[in-house]
Amino acid sequence: MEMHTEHIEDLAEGYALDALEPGERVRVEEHIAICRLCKQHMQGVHDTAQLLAFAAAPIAPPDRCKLRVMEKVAREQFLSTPTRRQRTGRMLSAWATFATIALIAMGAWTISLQREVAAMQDQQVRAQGEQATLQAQIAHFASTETVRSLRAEGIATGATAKTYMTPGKNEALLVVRNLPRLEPGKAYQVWVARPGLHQPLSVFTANQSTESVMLRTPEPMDTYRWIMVTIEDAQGAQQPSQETVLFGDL
Amino acid sequence: MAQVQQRPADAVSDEQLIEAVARGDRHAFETLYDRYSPAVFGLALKTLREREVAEEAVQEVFWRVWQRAKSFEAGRKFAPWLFGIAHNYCIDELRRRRARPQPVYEDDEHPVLSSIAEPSDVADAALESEQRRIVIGALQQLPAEQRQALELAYFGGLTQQEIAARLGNPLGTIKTRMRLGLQKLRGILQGQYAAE
Repeated sequence: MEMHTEHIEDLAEGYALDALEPGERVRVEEHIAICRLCKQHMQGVHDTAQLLAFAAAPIAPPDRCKLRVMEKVAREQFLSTPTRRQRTGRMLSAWATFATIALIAMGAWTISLQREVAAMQDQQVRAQGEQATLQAQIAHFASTETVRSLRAEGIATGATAKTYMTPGKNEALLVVRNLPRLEPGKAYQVWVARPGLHQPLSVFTANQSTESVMLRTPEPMDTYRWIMVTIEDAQGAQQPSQETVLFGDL
Repeated sequence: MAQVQQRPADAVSDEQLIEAVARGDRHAFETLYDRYSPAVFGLALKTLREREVAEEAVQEVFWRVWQRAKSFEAGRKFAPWLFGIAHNYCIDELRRRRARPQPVYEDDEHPVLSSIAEPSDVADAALESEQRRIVIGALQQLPAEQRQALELAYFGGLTQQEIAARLGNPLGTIKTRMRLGLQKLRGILQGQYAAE
């Protein structure tokens, strides 16, 4: 150990100040990886050297720096937290596998398929009904007092987006302008979230310069903290991708 | 070695806060940002010398703090850890931009006294000012050539070889100045903090 310390003794200060040549730096790093004493010594020299930062005059950065960092942190937390729906989805997935095997064994495969088709047809009819009443809902939400703007970024830079919501209600309206069209097979998806939960909502494509998207949530909108729009596969996702194009507080 | 002065007893320590950050506590992270962003911005401005680039540095440094909080080793002090991240970023950026430093200070004899700005938060600023006073006081006790070598490396991003070339001194001389400078600085700071 003693010999190891001697080996990098003349390099410790240069390393702590990031003032070594590349070859010397590698030599130090290889050495402290195997020598605990030298690592401790280096840490002490490093900690002293870093206090030189206090010699620079402290200057408050602009507020926008904090806003951007905090927003980035909130988003990362948002993306990395498994959703309740995702956890439930995993359980349901296991059950679905078991059920499918059982159904095949019982010869009920055809009946199951017919039910699925029927359910999809029902869903389509409901969707058409929703479309028919959308204009009326826009007028309703436009009169609400709570409006939240979303920040556009990435390929959506230049787009604008607002959420219209009524506290206590499980619905809201997202109005987006100038969102670019996506390649085939891709779609925009809306999410709302709060710590520990993010909730997938509507999937939409931007075919017009102004898109109005109805949002229906399991719980009142004002119980969520954030809203975001990501780019996902056309069928939507249970876990948001990293490709966020709109983000805002609720 | 006590690298940072203790905060009032009712204040949560930096080390407690970074442990909370490691558990995903954004409020703890915000508190650390409020405490240290002026120091990080000051370091970035002094090193990178462009306001816009320094603003990016502050954001990136604190983003790395958030991402690396889990790797913070218990028993260490937060400030040197943070400044290590900040310094690495600034020096890498400086070298990447190939913006080799101009003379870092206008006043080579008393360089660190040449730029003083107002910190943001009063309570934290008072503490930060005290830490700054101690470090500047310690630097002033170093022989000028040792102080110069440390500052050219730390704020100027110069390697030992580059410093030797710039000052026209043998490389060994520069290494010795750095070693003696940091050793003496450590001794002075230990004495200062012990006396507080």
